[in-house]
Amino acid sequence: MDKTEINKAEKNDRRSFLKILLSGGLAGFAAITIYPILSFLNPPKQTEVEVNSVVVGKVDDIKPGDSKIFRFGNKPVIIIRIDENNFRALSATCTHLDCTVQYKKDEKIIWCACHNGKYDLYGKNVSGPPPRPLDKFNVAIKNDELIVSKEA
Amino acid sequence: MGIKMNYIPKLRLITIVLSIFIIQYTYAADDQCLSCHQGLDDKPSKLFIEDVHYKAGLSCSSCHGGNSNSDDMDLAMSKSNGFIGVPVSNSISEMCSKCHSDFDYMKKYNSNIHTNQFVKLKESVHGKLAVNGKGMMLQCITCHNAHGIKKANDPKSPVYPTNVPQTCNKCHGNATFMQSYNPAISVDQLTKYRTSVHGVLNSKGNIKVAECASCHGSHDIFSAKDVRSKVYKLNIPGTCSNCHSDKNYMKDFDIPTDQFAKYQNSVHGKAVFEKQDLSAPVCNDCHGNHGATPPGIESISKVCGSCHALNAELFSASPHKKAFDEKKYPECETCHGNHEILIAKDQLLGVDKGAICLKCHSENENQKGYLIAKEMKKLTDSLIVSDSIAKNMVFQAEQKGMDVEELKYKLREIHQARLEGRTIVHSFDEAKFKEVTTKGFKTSDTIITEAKAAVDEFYFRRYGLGVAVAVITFLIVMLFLYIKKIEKPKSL
Repeated sequence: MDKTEINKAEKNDRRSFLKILLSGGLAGFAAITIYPILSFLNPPKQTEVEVNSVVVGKVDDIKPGDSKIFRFGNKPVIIIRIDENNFRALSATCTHLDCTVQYKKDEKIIWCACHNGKYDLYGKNVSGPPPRPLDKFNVAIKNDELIVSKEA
Repeated sequence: MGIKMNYIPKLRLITIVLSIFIIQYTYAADDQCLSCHQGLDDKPSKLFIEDVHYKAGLSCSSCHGGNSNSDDMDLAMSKSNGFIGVPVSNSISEMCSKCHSDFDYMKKYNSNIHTNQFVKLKESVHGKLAVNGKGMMLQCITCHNAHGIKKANDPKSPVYPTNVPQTCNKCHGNATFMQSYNPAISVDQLTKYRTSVHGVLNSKGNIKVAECASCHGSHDIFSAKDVRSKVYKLNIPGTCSNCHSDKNYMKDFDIPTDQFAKYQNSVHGKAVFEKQDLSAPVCNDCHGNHGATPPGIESISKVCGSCHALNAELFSASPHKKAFDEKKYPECETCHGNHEILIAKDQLLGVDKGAICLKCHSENENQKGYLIAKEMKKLTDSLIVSDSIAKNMVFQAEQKGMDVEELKYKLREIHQARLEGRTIVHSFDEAKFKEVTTKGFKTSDTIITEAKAAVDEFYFRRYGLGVAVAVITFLIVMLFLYIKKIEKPKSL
């Protein structure tokens, strides 16, 4: 075996080593590209997004005696400004058959249009078919913003 | 023989004298307390000779202690003879229970008599401490009297069915007295009871109809809020059905006995028995309790309307109100029934088989209502279909990984429109009904459009990804081939 032959053999070894590296890299690239693509094409069943708090808006967006219904996850929540300094947030889903309730300013009650269910402003069922009170939410004011969160 | 014959008159005399003495002594030995008190002409002694205990051979000393055989007052009523005088507070009931809680002893008198009355009384609401802090609120004698106690089936007994209402009313009709125990409790139960079917028959001497104890129990009375009470909301249907479902017991009264079976099957019964829903009505919510009576034809909508307020309000303002009044049809009951009220399905509406409207309306008779019912049913069915398509589309978009939170939230509005439609139908006003269903249709259209757009967006992304992957793969292959070409030795 002369010197050139030895150099050739060494060169071949190096080349095949580089080839292995390159194909390994390609295989890796394929794997990390194809897997997310396949995952994207076959998305898993989504679970409901768990929401723990929602920023409703600025304090002055709701005037005293007014209310606002907003989305809290998939469910509506009603926030009522009882007076200048007091806010109360309650689930806006009627406990009877899941209709969305509304605030009736003149009667000072929370009212359900479906079957005339009535709740007081603490969410307690006072008239009509609702079997139990509305769930309560916490209201906090931070930097002039209303933050409604689930009761612990 | 002659001597013997001479003795006979003497023996006769001795026998007569002895007999008189023995009879007198026996009488005295019977109850010296009674004979002495009868001499005093006092009330207890007058009552006691009518007492079931006296007739059974018991004496004053059985309850008061002492020696009833002794005619010496000091000796008879001496502490050494166990005289306790007038028992007070719980010692009264304890005294009664000495015998009445003793099964073997009571068996001698009546094998059917219960022996757990005192235990029950102590557990009951009346067994609680009285306001004076001395013993139970009520002792046995409060209801059964102290002297002159009669058997419960004796018409003179205060606990005889026709006397029970008055006996309970002694305390329960006394506002001042009741206030010291429960200021919230009403004191007009007897007045109300006398207006009820039960009360009227009871006052006429009928002992089968319900009186206080029939529903509240006798010794084991609990507050209506106590789950052990016979009149606790969830126990009421069972309590009423004790009599009302008993064909044999009810045979004297011309009313059905299937109310409980029907009620159990009704939407209200299921809410009570399966969901333990305390807001659902039980017997007394529609019939009243102390003033129990079947609601009259005109008051049915008021009774049902106490919960189903909007439906009743809409019905009263509807053209049906006048028509029903004229024909004397009971309002809610005509369409929904009474004890066996089933869940109001959409099939009740319309002109198809099984629809209630067909009872009075047909293509030839009362045609206007027929057409309105037909149109309302058409709208209801369309809204159901729209609701189902919208839900399906949202589901499809969700399964494809698209963000549909907002759409799911909007689905509530269709649900609401459907429910509101079921209420507004009681106005029997096509325009009002359309107004409600239109809200639902609009929302379902929006949801279907947006969900379709989300699904389209998914396919756009999917195909876009496919194209991008194809382009990238093509480039990589080209690059690979190009590199290979560069690597080929030029000499070859």
